[in-house]
Amino acid sequence: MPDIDWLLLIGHFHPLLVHLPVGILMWAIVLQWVSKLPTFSNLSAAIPATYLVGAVMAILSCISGWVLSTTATYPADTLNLHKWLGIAVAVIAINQYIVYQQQWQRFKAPVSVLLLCLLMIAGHFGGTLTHGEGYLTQGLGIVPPAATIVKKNIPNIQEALVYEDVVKPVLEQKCYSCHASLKQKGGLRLDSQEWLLKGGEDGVVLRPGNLMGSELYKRIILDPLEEKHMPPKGKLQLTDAESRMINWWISAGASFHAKAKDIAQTEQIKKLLTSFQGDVVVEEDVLPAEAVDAAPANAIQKLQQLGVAIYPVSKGSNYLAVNFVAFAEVDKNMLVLLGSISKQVLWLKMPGIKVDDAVINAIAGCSHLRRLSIEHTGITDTQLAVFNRLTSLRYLNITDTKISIDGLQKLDQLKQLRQLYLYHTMVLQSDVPKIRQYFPGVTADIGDYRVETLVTDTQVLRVGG
Amino acid sequence: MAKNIDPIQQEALLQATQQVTRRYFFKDCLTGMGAMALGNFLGGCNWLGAKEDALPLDTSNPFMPRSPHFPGKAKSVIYLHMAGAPSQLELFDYKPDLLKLDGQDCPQSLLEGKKFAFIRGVPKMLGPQAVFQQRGESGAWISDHLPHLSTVADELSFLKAVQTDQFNHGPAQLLMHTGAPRLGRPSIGAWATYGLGSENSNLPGFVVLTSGGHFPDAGKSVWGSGFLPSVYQGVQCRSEGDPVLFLHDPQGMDRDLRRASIDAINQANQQTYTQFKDPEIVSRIAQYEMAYRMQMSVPEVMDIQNEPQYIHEMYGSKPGVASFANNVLLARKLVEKGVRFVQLFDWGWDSHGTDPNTAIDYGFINKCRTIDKPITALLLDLKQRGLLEETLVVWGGEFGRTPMQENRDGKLNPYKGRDHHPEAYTMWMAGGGIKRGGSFGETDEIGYSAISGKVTAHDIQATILHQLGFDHEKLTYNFQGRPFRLTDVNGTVINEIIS
Repeated sequence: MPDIDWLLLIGHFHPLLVHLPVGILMWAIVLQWVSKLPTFSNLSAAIPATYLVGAVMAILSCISGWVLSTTATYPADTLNLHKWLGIAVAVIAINQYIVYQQQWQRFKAPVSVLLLCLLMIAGHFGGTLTHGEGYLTQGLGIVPPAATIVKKNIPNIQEALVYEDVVKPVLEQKCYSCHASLKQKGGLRLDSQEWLLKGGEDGVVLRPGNLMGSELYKRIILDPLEEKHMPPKGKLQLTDAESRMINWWISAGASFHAKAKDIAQTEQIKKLLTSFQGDVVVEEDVLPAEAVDAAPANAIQKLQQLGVAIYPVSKGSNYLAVNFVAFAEVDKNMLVLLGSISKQVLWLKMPGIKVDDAVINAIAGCSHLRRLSIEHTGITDTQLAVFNRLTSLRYLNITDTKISIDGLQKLDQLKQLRQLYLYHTMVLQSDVPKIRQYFPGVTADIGDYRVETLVTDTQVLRVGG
Repeated sequence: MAKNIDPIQQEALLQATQQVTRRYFFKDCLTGMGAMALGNFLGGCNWLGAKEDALPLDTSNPFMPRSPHFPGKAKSVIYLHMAGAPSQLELFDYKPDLLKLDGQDCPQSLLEGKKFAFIRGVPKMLGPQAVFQQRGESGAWISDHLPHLSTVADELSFLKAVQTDQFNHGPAQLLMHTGAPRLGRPSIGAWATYGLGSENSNLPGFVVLTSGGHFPDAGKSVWGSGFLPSVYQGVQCRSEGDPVLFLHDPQGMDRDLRRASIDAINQANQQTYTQFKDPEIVSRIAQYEMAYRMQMSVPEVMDIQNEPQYIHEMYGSKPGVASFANNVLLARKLVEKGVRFVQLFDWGWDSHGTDPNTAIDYGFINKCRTIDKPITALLLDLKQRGLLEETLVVWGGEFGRTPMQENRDGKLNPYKGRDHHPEAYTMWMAGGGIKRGGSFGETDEIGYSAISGKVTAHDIQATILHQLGFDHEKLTYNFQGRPFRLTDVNGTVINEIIS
């Protein structure tokens, strides 16, 4: 027979017990109000007894809750509120029973309203304790803004500290929301060396060098459908690379000060490590950080009627994607309309369009433009130079045009440019070093790939040769 | 009433029908009808203030581009389905240990409680019938059957442990493309065009091209629109002859007469719509309009004759014949013109070993040769045109093939072949925001079971929708009183292969 931990047992009954006073007292309040109707007046006999039972259950809940709060860790503020509101519910419920016994008529109604309010608020904070902040309102789409993770730039991962630069950011992003200063689910904190080694209420979670003895890792690799899997269902999960990194770190002794190069690495680990290197991990921000006013609705509507594909880049965004792929020519009317939405255009496609200066100027007026496709056009080097105003440009597709390296050279303000497509232009493979110099960080694709023809490509194998 | 019914039974039936009176109907059915009406009413009120799940649909312009939930990395999808299920064990899932077991009896532990499509009794193990090498910087294993694709291994992300619960072609294909193994659900291309509309108002949003001489086993439902408005079904185009059947006006009918007749038809449809308010009529009008525009634009985009010779050499395509290579080249042209979803089905991958065409060491290799060059060319061509980063390319079959040699009805097949295997197979994705040179999932040392990184059709669908900018749980359509979605109640985005 194992030792029975009575405190734990009683404490864990709290989540079960609390539902009884909530239900019973609510029912008592319903009875009280409904019995005012002549049809249901016979129900009034049941009211005092119901309040009494509810009050007793409230007291039991308070006791078990108190015990639970001593055995587990919850955010102190919410816990305090929940505790005292819960006690208040019990007290007011007893009070209401006495009111009925004494027949203090004018107290009955106000006390019942007070009790109802207390019940709901106390219950709400109880829910917040177990399910977390914002659980109730999740369906409304009001989600507390996730903390933005600032990724550290790690130029050389081999020189980086494994815990500080690789493991900690993972824990920070995936575990801290429940296991750090804000909350300590299961009494576990993961936000420092001391806490990590101390473990939680169920014991040690990190045993350096002993992977399978480390609950920290075991929980991560557990089948996601298991209840004990971490992070719990619905939370952001660790990626494969991240859990392998934690595996590697723990197996190698979970050092808090070692550099990556000091720990033995397999080929696979080496490869995975590079994915944590600064320049690879930095997420390309998809949308501009600054907000923009909505584009005039009638301009959007008119362009749509003309057959231009135009739509917000994502639901609720004012930034627009515009595509003229169905057209060979963009007429004056369209250019005027484009001018009226120029601030909002983020992605623009004008493949095969008849290009003149009016078109070029209209494009160059789209100050926030990130992606521009103007391939298969007669755009000239001089016209391209006008795009030097498009300082936010990330993607430029000028394949199948007469653009040369001289034209590209004039685009010295496009510091954000990342992708440059130059297939079928006057730009040569030998110009690529120059392009790298003009646009640091750009991937320039000259294209002209060939797939050689092998003898086997057209051969048909037959049985017997 | 039928004559062969027993007279007593007939009498009883008559009695029973006479019991059911009009009064009975009102009395007994009214509560139920009321409840149904109430349910419908409450649902219609959206009284929980729930999310606006279903997209507001403008039936007069169903292809109007719409916003996804978040900015998607991919604008278009090219889905290459090898109908019949190619063998992962000869292409991507290298199992040297299986070679050691070649010719030995399959261990009982692998057969217990398992049911195969054709294997009976105790089959022999069949070692990999291909030479494997690690390719590119990613070190992906690709066999010599695909010498061209091997050169672009670093563009791909492999899913090595795809699983399905269907071991027959039709249901398995339906599951891959419609999220359910039975008929009636919209296909993924229909969902994508329903969600995003089309970028080019002159072309259909969802185009299907088939090769290999047969349709996929699941038939046209595999690119159907299910309960979505029928405009979203895939438009099947042919790479030989007229791209769309009956595309040209009949002899003696000029463009003006065609216009006039369509106007007349639309007018009649409009009148019917005013009378019955059936939204399908509006979508029919839209289809007539689109068909009229397509008569001009489709022949142009579907004509590969104008492509330069070096492009034909790259793809291995030949104008005028029906081939997978031509379809792949068309897929690139369509995506370039703003088509949202291009679905290619290539039939002939069902390598059972019952005849030379389905032999793993003959027909299968020939099939590999017909796809290797075109697919490689597609990836490189999309890349040099700046389209690969916004075009998601998906390759796969409907299930995998067994590490055992097929012994149909207990007798060894005349040629080397493998049976259907739903437990583990390989697919790959490239472009459209997918990680370059990635790989996810592992199978055991003989490629029989998935041991890690298991994914299902629903996970793949969720991932494709994610790349297009959709939360697959929120892209829904209200039908039969409840919102439906492609991934039913399943599906997790495979973040491991997303860059």
